[in-house]
Amino acid sequence: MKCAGARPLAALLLLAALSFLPWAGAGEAQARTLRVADQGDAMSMDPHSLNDGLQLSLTGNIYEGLTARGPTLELVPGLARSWRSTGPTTWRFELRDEVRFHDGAPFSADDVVFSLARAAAPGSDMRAYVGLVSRVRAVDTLTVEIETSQPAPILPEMLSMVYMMNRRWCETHGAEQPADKRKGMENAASYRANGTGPYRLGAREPGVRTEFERNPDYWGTIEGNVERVEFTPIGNDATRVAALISGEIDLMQPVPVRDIPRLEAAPRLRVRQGPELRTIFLGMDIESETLRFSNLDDRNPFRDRRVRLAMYQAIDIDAIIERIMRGAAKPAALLVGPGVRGYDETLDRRHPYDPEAARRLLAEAGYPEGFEVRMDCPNDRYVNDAETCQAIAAMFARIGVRVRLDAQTRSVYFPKILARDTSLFMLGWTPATYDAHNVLYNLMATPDGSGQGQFNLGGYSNPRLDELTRAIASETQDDRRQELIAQALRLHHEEIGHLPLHQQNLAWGMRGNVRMVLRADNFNDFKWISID
Amino acid sequence: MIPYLLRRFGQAALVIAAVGLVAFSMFRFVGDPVLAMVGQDATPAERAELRSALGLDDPFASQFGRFAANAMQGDFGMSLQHGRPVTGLILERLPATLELALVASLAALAAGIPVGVWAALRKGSRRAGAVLAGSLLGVSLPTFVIGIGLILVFSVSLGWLPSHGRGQTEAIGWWRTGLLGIDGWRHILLPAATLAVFQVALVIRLVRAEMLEALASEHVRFARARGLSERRVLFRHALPGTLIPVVTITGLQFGSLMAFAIITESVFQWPGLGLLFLQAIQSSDIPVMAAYLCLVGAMFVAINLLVDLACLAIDPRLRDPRPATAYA
Amino acid sequence: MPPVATLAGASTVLLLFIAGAVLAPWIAVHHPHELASLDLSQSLRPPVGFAGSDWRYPLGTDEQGRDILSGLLYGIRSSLIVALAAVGLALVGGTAAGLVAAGRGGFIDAVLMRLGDIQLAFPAILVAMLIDGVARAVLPGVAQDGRLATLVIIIAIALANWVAYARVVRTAACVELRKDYVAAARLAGARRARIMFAHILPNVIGATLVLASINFATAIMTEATLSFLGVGLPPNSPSLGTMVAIGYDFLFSGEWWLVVLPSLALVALCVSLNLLADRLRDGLDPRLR
Repeated sequence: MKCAGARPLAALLLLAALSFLPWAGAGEAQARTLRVADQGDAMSMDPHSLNDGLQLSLTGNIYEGLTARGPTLELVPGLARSWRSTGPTTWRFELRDEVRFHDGAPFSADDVVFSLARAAAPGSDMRAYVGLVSRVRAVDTLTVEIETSQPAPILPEMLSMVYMMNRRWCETHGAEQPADKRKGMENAASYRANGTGPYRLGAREPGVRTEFERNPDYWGTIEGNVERVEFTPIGNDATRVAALISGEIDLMQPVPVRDIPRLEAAPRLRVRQGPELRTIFLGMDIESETLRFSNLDDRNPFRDRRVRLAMYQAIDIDAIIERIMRGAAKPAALLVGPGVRGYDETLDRRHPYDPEAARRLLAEAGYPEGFEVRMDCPNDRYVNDAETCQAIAAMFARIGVRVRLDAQTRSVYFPKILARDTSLFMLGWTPATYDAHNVLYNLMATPDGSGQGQFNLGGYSNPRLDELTRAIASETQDDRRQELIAQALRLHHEEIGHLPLHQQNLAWGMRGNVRMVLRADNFNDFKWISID
Repeated sequence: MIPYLLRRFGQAALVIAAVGLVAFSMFRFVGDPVLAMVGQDATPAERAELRSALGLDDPFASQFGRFAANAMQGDFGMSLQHGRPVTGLILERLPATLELALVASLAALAAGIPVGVWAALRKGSRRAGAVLAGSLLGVSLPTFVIGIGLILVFSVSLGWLPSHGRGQTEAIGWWRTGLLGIDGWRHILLPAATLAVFQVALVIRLVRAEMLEALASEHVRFARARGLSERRVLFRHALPGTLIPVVTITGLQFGSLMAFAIITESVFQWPGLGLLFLQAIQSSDIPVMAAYLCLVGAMFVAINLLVDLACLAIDPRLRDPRPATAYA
Repeated sequence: MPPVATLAGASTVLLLFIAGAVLAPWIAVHHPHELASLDLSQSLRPPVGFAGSDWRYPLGTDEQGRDILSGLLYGIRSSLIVALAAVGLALVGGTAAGLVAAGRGGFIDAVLMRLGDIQLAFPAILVAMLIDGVARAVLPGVAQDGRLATLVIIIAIALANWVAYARVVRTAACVELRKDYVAAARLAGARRARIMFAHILPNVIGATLVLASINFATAIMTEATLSFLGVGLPPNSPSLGTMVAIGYDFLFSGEWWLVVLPSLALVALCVSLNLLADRLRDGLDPRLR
C-alpha cells in the first residue's frame, strides 16, 4: 500500500466532474412546490396543545374550525355553513354537508362535540376559547347546538381557532386528550394529523422539516396553485436571509429589520410589510408581597402605582422604534392594537416619556437609590426582542432601576414565565378573536384558574375591570359594548397594569414569482399562495 | 512487533475507556436526569419510582456498564433540547461535517503540497520566506476571523459565493450530500477554505522540511548521479517519501479538524456535528455532549490506530515508537 | 527568524494594547456595559471619516449606542486578564504536576502521565469547551454572571493546557534529578520537597516560560473563540469575541465597523503575540525549534 498523494487528487477531480452532470439537483424549485421557512417551528401538530401563532397557523392548513377568517380577517363560514343565536345563551351551527377528513371519514356533529370537549380538557392550551361553552349537543348529524354559561355574542369568533378533529381517529390513535406540552407529553396527534383542511400532513420531523400536500378531495376551493409545501425552521436570521437570496427557499418570515432594504433592492426578491395585530409589552409582578428576583426582600415596588408609572415614563419608545426597530413599528399605549374590535384611537395616547419625572416618582415612592431586578426576555420570538429589552434595560438604569437582563430562547423562556417565575418580563399578544374582550379576559382579568387571566402573568387585578370584562362578554349592543371596553381600557391605562411598547410590522420576504395574502395576524394560508 | 501492536491496542482501549467514563460521569452527575424527564409536577413518589426504574440507585459500576453497553449499540438516550433520540440527530448531522472535513483536508493537501515543494526548491529566496511568514500568519489567526473575512470578501463585497448553509442537498439513503450539485459546491467552498487554513500552514512547513531532507538524501543524490532529469528525480524519488509523513500528520490532525469544524460551522451555520455540539453546550444538553465526545474520541482513536498501523506496514523502521512531533 | 522591523512593529502594537487595556477606565468614553451610560440616540454611528460620525466616538457605536473604542479597550483588558490568569494557573499547576511526577515516580508518575497523554489526544479548545459546557450545566448562573463566567473560562483554559508544562517539567526534572548536585544535597540530608523547589525548579523554569509565551497567544484566541461561540464570557461582559459575534449580524446590512474593527484588533493582538513568542522561543531555547 502506498500512502500516495496522487490518489486523493484523482478522486477529487472525478467528484468535481460528476457534479457538473445535468441530473445533479438544480437550484430552482419545481413549480408548485413552495419552500417556506420561519424563525421557529410548531411544537406539535396537535391543534389544541399550544396557543401559539405559528402552530395554529401551520395546523390551520390541515385542520379547520366551524368558522374561519377571510383575507382581511373578516369572519366567514368554515366547517359550519351558517349559524345563529337561538336564545340568550344558545347558538345553533349548521354544518357543511359532504366534508370528509383526510382518512375518508365523514365529518359530523359528533366530531364537533368531541373536539370542543377536547379543547376544554386539562392539557389543552385553547381552553380560554371554549371557556364560555357549557354544553355541546348534536341535534342531528349536521347540526350542533352550543350552550354557553352566560350570553356570548362573539362565540363564533372565538371558535375560529378551535379546530375540528375526528373522534374515531383520535380514539384509534390514543389521542383523545391534547398533548400537554408543558409536561413534556406527546401522543400520536403530535406527529400525525387527520383534518378536513386543504392540505394534508406529509412528513413531520420536528425542528427539521414538515411537509404538506394538497388535498385533492377538499370540500372548498383552493385558489392558489401550490401542490406541495416544505416548511423548514431556520432560527438563525442571517441563514434564513441567505437561504432566500440563494434561492434555497421561496418564502420566509420574519425579515430582520436591518435586512429589509437589502432584500428590497435585490432583483428577484420582494419584501411585503404590513402592520401586525400583535402588541408587545412588558409585564410586572404586581401580585407578590415581595419582589422575588430583586435585591429587595421585604417589599415589592411594582405594587406601587408610582413605581409603575416611573418605569413607564423611563421608556423612550420613539427612540426604540427609530433605532432598534428602524421605523418598522408603531408605539402603543394600549394592549389592543388598531384593527382589533374595541380599539379606540382617542385612548391610544402614551404617558409622556419623562426620565426626570420618573426619578422623582421613584424617590417619592421610597426608592431614592432605585433597586435591582431581573428582567426576562425571549431572544428568538419577536422582532428584535432581546435588543429592545437591552435598550429598555439601559433606560431603566438611567432612572436607577438596575436591571439584570436574562435573554433566553423561547423553549426555555415561555415555560418559565408561564409558570410565573419572573418579576419583569416581555410578552406579545394577538387576540385570536380580533376583539378586545380576548385581551381583557386573558391578559388583564384576575387569574382564576379556569382560563380567565391565564396569561396575566404579573397578576394584575382590579375587580372593577373583571366586572366590566364579564359585562362585555355578554353585551350584544355594539355601542354599549364599545363604551364598556373603553372604560376598561382607560382603567388599565390609568393603573398601569402593564407597560405597553409597540405593534411591530410584519415583514415577509419572497421570490418575485410568489403571491400570497398577508394576514394581519401573521397566519399563512397555503391555499392562497400562488407561484407564477 | 506483536508486543508493539498489543501496546497500541491497549493504549487505544484505554483512551476510549477514559472518554467513556468522562461521558458517563457527565450523564450521571450533571443535572438531574429524572427532573429533566418528568417535570416539576411529578410527586416525590413518582420521582423515586422513576429513579429505580432507570436504575439510578444501582452501584456506579453497573450503571457504567449499562451505559457502555448502550453506547456501543449507539444508544445515547434522548436529546434534552430537541426531544429526539441522540443517535438520530447525530446521523443526520454527520454527513455534513464529514463532507466538510473531507473537502477541507483535500483542499489543504492540494494547495499545501505544491507550495511546500516550491518553497523547498526555492529555499532561501525572498518569496519563499514570505510564504513561510504567511503560513505563520495563517496559524495565528482565529478561525472565526478567517471565516468572517472570507465572507466579507466573497459574499458581501463580491457577491460570488453564498455565506450560510449547505444549499441544495440530495439524499442517498440516509446520507444527505451537497456534493452532487453546483449549489452544494458553491456553499461548501468558503467553509472548507476556512477549515483548510490551519492545515495548509502545517502542510506547507512540513512538506518543505521533509522535501529538504529528501533532496539531501543519499538516494536522490544517487538518482541525480545516474543522470535522471531533475523532474524525474523530484517526482519519482524525492516526493513519494515526503508524502507519507504529510498524510500521516494530516490524519493525526483529525482532532483539531473536529474542533475547528465547530467554529467554522458556527460562522457559516453549516448544519453539522459541530453546530449540534455547540448548541448542546449552549443549552446544557448533556446527552448530546456525551455522545459527541464518545463519537469524536472513538473516531480519533480509530484514525490514530489506522495511521500507525498503515505506516507500520509500509516502513518497518517505524516499529520503535517515535515521540509525536509537536507541530500545531 | 522574523526580521527586526516586524519584531519592532509587533512589540509596539502589543505595548499599545497593554497600555490601552491598563488605562481603559480612564481613557474610555464609558464602560460599554454600564447600562446607565448608554445613549440610544447615538446608536450606529460609523467611525470618524464617514458620514454621520462623531469625534466623541472615534470608532463608531453599535446598535445600543455603545462606543466601539471603549469596547475594544475593555475587551482587550478582559482578554489579557483571562489569558494571564489561565496561563499562570496552567503553568503553576502543570509545573507542580511535573515535579510531583518526577519526584515520586512510580504509580503517581504513571497515572499523571497517562492522564496527560489521554488529554493530549484532544485539541485544547475542545477540552476547554467541554469543561465550560459541564460548568454551565452544573452552575446555571454562569450564562449571566460575568465574574463566575470569567472564573470558569480561566479554569477551563488552564485545565486544557496544563499537560505540556507537566511533561516538559517532568522531563527536565528527571534529567536534573540524576545529576551530582542533587545526590550531594540528598546526602547532606535535605528533604525531597526542598530539593525540588530550591534546586530543580530554577533549572526547569526556562523551558516553561517558553511554553507560557506561546500558550499566552493561544489562550487569547481560545477565550475570543469561546466568547464568539456564545459559550465564553456572557454578552454583558466586555470581550472581543462577543463584539465580533454581535457585529457579525450587521455585516450584511452595511454597518461593517461593528465586526471589522474588533476582528482587526483581535488579529493584531494575536499576530503580534505569536511573532514575539516565536522570537522568544528561538532566543531562549533553540533546541525546541
